[in-house]
Amino acid sequence: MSKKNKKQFTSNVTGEQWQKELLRTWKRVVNKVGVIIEDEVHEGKRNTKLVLKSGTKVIVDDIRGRIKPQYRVRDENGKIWFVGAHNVDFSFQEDNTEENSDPVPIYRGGVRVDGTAEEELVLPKRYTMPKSTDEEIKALKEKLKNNG
Amino acid sequence: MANSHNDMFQNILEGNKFDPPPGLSNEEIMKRAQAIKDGKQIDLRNTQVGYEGVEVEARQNWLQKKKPHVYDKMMKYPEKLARGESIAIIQFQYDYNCNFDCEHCSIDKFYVPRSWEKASGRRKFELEDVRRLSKEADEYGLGNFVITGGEPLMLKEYDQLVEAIDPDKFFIACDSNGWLLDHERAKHIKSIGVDKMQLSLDGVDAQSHDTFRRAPGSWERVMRAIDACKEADLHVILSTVIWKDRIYTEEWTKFLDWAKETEIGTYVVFAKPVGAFENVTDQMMTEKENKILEQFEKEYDIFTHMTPSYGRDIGCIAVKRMVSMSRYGDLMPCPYQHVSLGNFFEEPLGDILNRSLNIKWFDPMKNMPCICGVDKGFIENVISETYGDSEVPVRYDKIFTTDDFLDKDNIGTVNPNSGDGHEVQTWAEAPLITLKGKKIKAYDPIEEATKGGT
Repeated sequence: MSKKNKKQFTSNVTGEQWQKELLRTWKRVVNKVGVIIEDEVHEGKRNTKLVLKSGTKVIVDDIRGRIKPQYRVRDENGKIWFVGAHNVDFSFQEDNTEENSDPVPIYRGGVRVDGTAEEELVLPKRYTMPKSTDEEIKALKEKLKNNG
Repeated sequence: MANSHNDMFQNILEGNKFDPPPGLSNEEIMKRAQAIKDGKQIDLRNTQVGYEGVEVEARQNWLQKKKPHVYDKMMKYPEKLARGESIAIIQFQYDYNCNFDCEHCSIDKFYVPRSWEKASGRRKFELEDVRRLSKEADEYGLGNFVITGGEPLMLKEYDQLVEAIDPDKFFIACDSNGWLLDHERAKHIKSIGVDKMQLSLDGVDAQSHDTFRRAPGSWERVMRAIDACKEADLHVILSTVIWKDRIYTEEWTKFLDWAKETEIGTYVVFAKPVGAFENVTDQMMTEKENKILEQFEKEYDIFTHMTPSYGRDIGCIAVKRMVSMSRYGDLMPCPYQHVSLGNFFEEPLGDILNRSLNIKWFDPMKNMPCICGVDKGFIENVISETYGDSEVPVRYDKIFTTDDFLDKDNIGTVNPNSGDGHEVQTWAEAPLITLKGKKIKAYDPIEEATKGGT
């Protein structure tokens, strides 16, 4: 990240210091294994605290946020966490030998065009709905009606 | 001072077509009321609704002439509310791309980098979907869109988006940080049918605004944008965020004085404990600050989402008067409740709205408080479900139980065995929405007319 992107702002509201953190190109992180740099302490339900320990290996499967970018990761137990993009280290993987590193797939308009197989993506169901039309909606309504 | 922020449609609705025009005999009033009940078109030309005065009449005439279909729909709003239907403004989050990094951004978690969005196969709004949304919203009788983001003026397809929404069918407002709004753009935006710009301004001086928006030079750009809108005769209002400490500062009163002097209405947005302010509760407005703000409302041309309007105090406007549509088709109760009430790509808008109005928190007959701002039970049981490691928006069936629904036959995909019989206390204690002091449930045009009006 270049230095000019590191301008710091101090909030008038919370006093928090902030500087822009850029997401790494998704191709370089999605489906890659990273290591948590610092403990991630998350609030759970009923005032409980959940900790994702530093050094934990995680696999990245989604990305969100621009101001506070986060990776959606799974830990070794399959639990999903959203962790700050700056808090995952991929460097150990980047040092791997060529045979361990995945080729970067090439997409055009969301379609993979490099001849390699599409990896199975783990995405919420609503993102994988087929494109709906008025007819599909009508059919869906009919189906729901018939099912009572 | 009355709130002169009321724009043309609000003024129209400050009274409503059920209210007998002045000067009618009892016989004429009865005839008119019967026509309303029979669903016949009534002659609105001589109906004096809203505040009295030349300005209101001019605004009504403007809308009636310029956007007759929108005017007709808005004149039906009181009737729709009385029937327990939504008159929601659709806050349309068409794209989350933005050129700012504002510290209070409430939708940051919704942003996905464009190339990853494509590669991951997310279904998002295309212009043909927008046309369908416009069609369904129009059929439902809705009359307002707010294009928001992200920063809408960054959109390459801005003109096509406005066209797809259809300016003939909707009063279209647009949020902006003003960075890309110069005179030429303002003139163009007006020419394609956008009716109002809502510009974000969070400080009377450059230092406070630019720090909050984390964009040096942005205050200057907002000033330029205000002038551009005025020159282009494009209706403009300001939008400013209020947090607990700000209301006690000299900067806040200076801001209000400046807005008053500049003759621009200001929409005051409460900082909410979501988005970038997730869990930041110590700077949220409390009842005390709300009372102070109410005093400011009397003196200055400002309004909030809780300001009574349309002739009635409906309380929390979620679903009733406001819904947010995400880029990915999820309909949410308001910009701060990251709960999906249903997905537009999966079911029709009207079905989602009708099911949502069946949720007690959004009961169209009840005057609920600002549930995501002050209701601790709602924040703990609903809003907090959207925090942290939750994937937002969280689907309604993961949050609500049968206890939250009025009619147990319209609960969508909620588990029928999910409730344990607990009453939603806030709902049980909330008063009914009133129409000029009368309970809306008891409202009947014939009865009203017989009694001699409002």
